[in-house]
Amino acid sequence: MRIIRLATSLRLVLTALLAALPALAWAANDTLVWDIAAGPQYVDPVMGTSAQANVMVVQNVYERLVWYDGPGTQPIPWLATGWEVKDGGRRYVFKLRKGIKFQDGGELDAAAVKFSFDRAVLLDDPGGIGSFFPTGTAAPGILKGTWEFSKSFGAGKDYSQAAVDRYMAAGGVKVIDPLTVEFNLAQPYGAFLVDIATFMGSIVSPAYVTAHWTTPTDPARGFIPGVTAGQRDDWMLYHASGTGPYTLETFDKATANVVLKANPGYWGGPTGKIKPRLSTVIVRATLDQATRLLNLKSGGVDIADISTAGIFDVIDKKKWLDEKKIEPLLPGVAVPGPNPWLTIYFAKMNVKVKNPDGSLAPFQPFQDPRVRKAFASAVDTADIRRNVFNGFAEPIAWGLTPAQFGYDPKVKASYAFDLEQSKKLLLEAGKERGFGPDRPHDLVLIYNAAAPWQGYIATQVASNINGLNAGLKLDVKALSFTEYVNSWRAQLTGFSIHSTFSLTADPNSWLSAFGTSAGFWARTSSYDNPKADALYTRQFQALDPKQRAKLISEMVQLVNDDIMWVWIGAATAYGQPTFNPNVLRASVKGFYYNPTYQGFYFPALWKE
Amino acid sequence: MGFVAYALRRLAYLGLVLLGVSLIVFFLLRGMPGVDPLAAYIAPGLPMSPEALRGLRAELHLDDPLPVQYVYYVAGLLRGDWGFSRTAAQPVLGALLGRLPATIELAVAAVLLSALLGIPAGVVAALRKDRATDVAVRVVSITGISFPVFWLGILLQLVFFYYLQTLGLPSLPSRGRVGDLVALQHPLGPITGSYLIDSVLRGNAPFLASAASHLVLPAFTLSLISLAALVRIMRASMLEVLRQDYILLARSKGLSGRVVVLRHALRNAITPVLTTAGTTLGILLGGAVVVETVFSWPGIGLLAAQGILNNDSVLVVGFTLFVATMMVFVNLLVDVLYAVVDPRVRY
Repeated sequence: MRIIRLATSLRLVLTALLAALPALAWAANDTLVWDIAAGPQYVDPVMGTSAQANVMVVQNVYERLVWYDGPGTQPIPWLATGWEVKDGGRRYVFKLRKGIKFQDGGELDAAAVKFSFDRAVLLDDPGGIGSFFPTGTAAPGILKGTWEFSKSFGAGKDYSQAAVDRYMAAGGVKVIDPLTVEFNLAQPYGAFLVDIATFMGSIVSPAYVTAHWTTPTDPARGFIPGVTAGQRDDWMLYHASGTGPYTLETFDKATANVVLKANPGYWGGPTGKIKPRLSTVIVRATLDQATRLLNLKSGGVDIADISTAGIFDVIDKKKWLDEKKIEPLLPGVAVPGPNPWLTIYFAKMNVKVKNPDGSLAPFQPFQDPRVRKAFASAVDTADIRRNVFNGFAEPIAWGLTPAQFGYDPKVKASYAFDLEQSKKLLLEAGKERGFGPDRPHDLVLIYNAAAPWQGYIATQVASNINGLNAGLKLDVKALSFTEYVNSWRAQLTGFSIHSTFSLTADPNSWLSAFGTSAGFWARTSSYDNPKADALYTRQFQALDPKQRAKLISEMVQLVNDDIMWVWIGAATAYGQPTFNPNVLRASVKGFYYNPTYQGFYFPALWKE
Repeated sequence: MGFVAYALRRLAYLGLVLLGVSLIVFFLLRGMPGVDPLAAYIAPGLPMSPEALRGLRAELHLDDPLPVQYVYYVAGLLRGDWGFSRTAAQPVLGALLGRLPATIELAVAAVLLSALLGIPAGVVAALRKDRATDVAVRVVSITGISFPVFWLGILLQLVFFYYLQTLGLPSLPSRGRVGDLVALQHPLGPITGSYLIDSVLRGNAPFLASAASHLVLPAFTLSLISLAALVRIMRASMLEVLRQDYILLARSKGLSGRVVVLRHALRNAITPVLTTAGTTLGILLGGAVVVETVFSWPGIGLLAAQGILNNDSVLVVGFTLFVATMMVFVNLLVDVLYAVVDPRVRY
């Protein structure tokens, strides 16, 4: 008996060892492995997201009415064959392609498009960016009826059946016939096509969603079949059925690893020629950069996220910093780039510094445009781009990157690094504001202790201003993240350092954030210029791209001249970044860069 | 006092300790002077309107006095509402519990490994007191604990993964809990959450082999945190026992050295080692943050590291509370086990 048991155990061990061998082998040529720094959190396209890895999955599994062909940043018909713009930009009518199937077997039709957009509105995720569209951030919103339903972001909303019915009756999205769908907007909107090209315009399978949904038991919750108002869909957070070239095979919540499989029934995209060549894509969340680098060097992974801070383990530092040439140090590794990205670094100045109790502080130096210009002139942005961002940032004259619509290199900067000028301005302003070399005034610069790059900038500014001996004595204070966020959100500080990214190549969200009084960054700086507000609305509603671009240039120049923001640089990328840029094994072919993508569009890639 | 009464008294103390811990973490979240606690609950840069912020403030009772907020906070904790983690995109408690089996598997493996290495090493060092072997064991164990764990983890990856692979030799995996392709081709239905146990129960040999090979490097790295302490306690305890009269008696009866050491000395010397190993388990559960990060081991430590990088203070504070609670329970368990292992212990 004992011998039999021993033999069984031995057999189990031997089988295990033999079976483990293939696991040690390299990934096959039709399998791509990517060590990503931070994996996705969920993949429901209607959820607000600050994690670009979510979008990476969504853009491969789901599709939209319009999208981007190759490296192009102008949307082209995708699930739609074309569109008509009517009523001065208030009505968009799309014709759909025939015969496209969802991954669960259902057919794409106008009802599925309507369901997807109604779902986005009714689910009403308060988490953030997902709520931009189709709700809109300011009245009257974008799709008809959405503003009244959602009233922008916020708790305490009415999710009753009556509210749901009112939204549905408003007719924001209408099915005209099985292959025609109509969008009725509450106002003309020039960036409508760009918005529906983002992950937020993804078309989901109504049959799949509804099959995994249960009718709410709470009578206060309104619903339509498949969607409960104001409630996240737990199934769709981790499962998907779209029309895209890849299916979501597994999503491991604990590891944030995802496995995508080529969709065997994929319709081929607008040209009919898109056919995934990688049968399996494995995206593994690997937090530690040293591990990612080791895996890349060993050839165990095809793509690895490598932050700019660690890029000199991969490329020749001198060649890059001195000659702007990317030369990989590791054999068999490619570092495509640099390319314009959708991330910017900036500092903001607050014209209404407050006390912790909310009252105005007695000393308000930044209300004086000369002080703002003096501070902006004391930031050596070229030094920061080279030494903090390792050269992976480009100078910008305004808070748009070259990857965005409306970026205008002719917009004039209103300051330049010039300490003499800075001193002159401070001495002038000090006479009226009550500070000077004989009456020095203390001022604190804060930064997030968890972000050393901010510390470098804060120290540089403080050192430069203090060195001028112009009456301001700056002290640098590292704050815990919570204190830091609290400090600038509650306007307790006059000068703070930030970075921000956009999920679209359209500038609307940044124009609003920096240039309008209700905008996020402007609000926390008490910036208010009615002329800029008016220009924002005009460009928002402009349908002609040329006219819109002109209005954008006009607006950014106007805001620029007010000097509320110090533009430190626009990040440049290598690879196709999500949160971090990445490097590839040279055996990965077919790569092209598109700034509107979040991570790779896998059907473009193959391995040799 | 009987054992039951002792256990009940300890449980009551446990309640007090947890209350104290909750008070500390509450003030970390809400009580910082001059800081609006709302800042901990919102992602920077997300465009929340003033109405939304007011809604969130009301939901979290942030306008109430601090003691009232604390009562709401503790009531939430007792209901299982530990807040929502932006990093995990799910409730904090659910996220931690979901990742706990991975950490327990790693910590138990590390404790077993350190016992497997530390007990014989301690015994040998005691038997060869002040001789070259003793000095070598002590030097190696002290050197082991002196290395920073993250550095040692990377070093082991470099040798046992990268160099072996580059030389075309069989190597150990650098990251994760199981091979990606194995997980795809031989999926494992969870039972206990331990990959080793579940793959044995399901008879999934490829999964077992892959999971075991993935466990080696992180478990060994983690075991070094406790190995030195274990070796030293084992050595001291063994030396103490070897001086006892009953050992002299056993020797004088003509028993072989092996029997004296294994049957008489080791059995008596091992009690403090077992309790140390138990306490160490608690330390390792919390101390796995670095090792889990280096090896992408999907446990609570890695989640906490992601939370720290993501400035997710609700998660980090939840993790602190969770680990403190576990430590308290493990300590209680060790005290109870002490009585079981050593019949001389009376309560």
